[in-house]
Amino acid sequence: MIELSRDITFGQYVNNGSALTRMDPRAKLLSALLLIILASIVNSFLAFALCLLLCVVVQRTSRISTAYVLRGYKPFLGFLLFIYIIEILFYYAPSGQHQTILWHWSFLNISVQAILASTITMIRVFFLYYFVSMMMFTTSLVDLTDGMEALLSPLQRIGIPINAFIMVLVIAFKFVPIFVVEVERLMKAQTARGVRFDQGNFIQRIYKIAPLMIPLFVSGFKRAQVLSIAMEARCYGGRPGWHRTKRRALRFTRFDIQALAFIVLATIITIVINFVAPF
Amino acid sequence: MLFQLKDVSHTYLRNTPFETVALHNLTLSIAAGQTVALIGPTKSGKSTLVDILAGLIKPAPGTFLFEGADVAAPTFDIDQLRNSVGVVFQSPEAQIFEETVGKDVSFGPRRKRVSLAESRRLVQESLEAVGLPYEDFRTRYTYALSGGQKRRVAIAGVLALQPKVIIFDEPTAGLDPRGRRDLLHLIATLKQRHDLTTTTIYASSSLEDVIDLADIIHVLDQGRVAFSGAPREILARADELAALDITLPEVTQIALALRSVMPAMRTDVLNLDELEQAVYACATPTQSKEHKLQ
Repeated sequence: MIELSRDITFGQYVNNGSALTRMDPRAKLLSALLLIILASIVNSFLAFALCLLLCVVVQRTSRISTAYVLRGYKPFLGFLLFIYIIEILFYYAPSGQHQTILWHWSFLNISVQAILASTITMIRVFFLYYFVSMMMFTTSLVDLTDGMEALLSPLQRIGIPINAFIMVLVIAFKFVPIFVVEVERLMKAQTARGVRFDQGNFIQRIYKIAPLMIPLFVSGFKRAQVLSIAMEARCYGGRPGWHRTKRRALRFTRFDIQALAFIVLATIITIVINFVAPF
Repeated sequence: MLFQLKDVSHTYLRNTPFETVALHNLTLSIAAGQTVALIGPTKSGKSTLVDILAGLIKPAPGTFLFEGADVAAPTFDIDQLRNSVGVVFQSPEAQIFEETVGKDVSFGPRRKRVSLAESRRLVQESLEAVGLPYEDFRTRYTYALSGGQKRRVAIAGVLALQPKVIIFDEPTAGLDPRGRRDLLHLIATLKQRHDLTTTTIYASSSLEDVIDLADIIHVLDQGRVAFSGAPREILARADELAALDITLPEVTQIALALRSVMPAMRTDVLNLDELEQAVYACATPTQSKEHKLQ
């Protein structure tokens, strides 16, 4: 009945021992980055079809149930639909573009071009979310930080505190499932004392959720405090001359190089097709 | 019967890579007016069972009858079940969500839309019942309370709902020995006061907490009922309990340890006097000879 963690899948790590979970985090991050760039620049339907093919390959290698991955889209489908409609209605055509108007009322228009452009944006969002969440599903938090630190370490030399930034990011990610469980517990406690979260209209439901915020923030701050003390106690923090070493060194394997080469190749092919494709 | 569970199963995070089976074909009945203990190691399904009894999760598959009515039936009013059952959850921090003690305890009565005077009376009664002076605690901030006080406030919040059934889910977890003793004493007093009208269900991994309190004890293991019985019957099977990682009362631990030198030693002893008698019974020569003959 109250099981939020069934629907909120983002940020979960599924450790099923697949090839993707064992892949070097640096290679995985680079691949994910390439795929994200790819999904951001292509705009032809044929190129998107190739992206879908890539997704199928990634999905098969990850050995995670497709239904589980797709369920991650559920919480914000309504929001996406809303954006989609707004985008179509308020489409701003680039100068010189010819528009075929289908429907018109005062300042609202629906044109073929608007529908096409907005649909492409939605497909793009679908792919972006897929690649990011897939990386999260297959990468443990330790791997993720190690990979990011390794890739961004050149910036550290010019004085940007990469380690600190990454720690902040990691803690933020780590708190998502913790908060979900916390909200579940609070909702249970309130349900036991007579609150019905499954009844009422949209406004009434928001009104019921609001009282959860105070205890959630209190427990969040408490957790943050405990965490900061624990980090302090283990001498976390950069001092001049200090250098953190790793117990587990990252090493590229043959699979990592092959996988990275495959992604690079696939990206180049898709981009080329995108620019020569007729539609 | 107040509660009847038949072949109830429950799986968390069904259809995800994280799915875990919490209850497995569990059958259990609880009669009104009894004090029932649910004992089991961690992950034995106690908390899930508590959530089902409180109407917070629906058992599927399986049947759950409350006062003879099927909870899964579309005509069943879930509020009827939730209003009759009050739960004191495992961690009081999750239970208390208002800023002040008075507001938190009055949350249930306000939900039920009782009059202001009635709500005030209920809050006062409940706070006094758990040993917290009303005038002193009414305006205190809930975040500034000690662990033991938080639990008392949580219990008061449940009492203010005037439930037919009160469920305690590991109420002594994380308390110091004194806080634990005080809380158990409080629960025993509450039981005496509401005797025969209120059903008390107590879930715990420690047998010591419930041995003097419970009329009947159900031992859970891996989502099913391993065995049930009166406290004495349960203690007689102390070796099985120890194998399940259930904390036994000290006297029972001693009795069980003595078995290595006295194989006929009884383990169903409730206090030191009974332990002494059991030791004497084993040590007298005639008895031990009898044992050898058997």
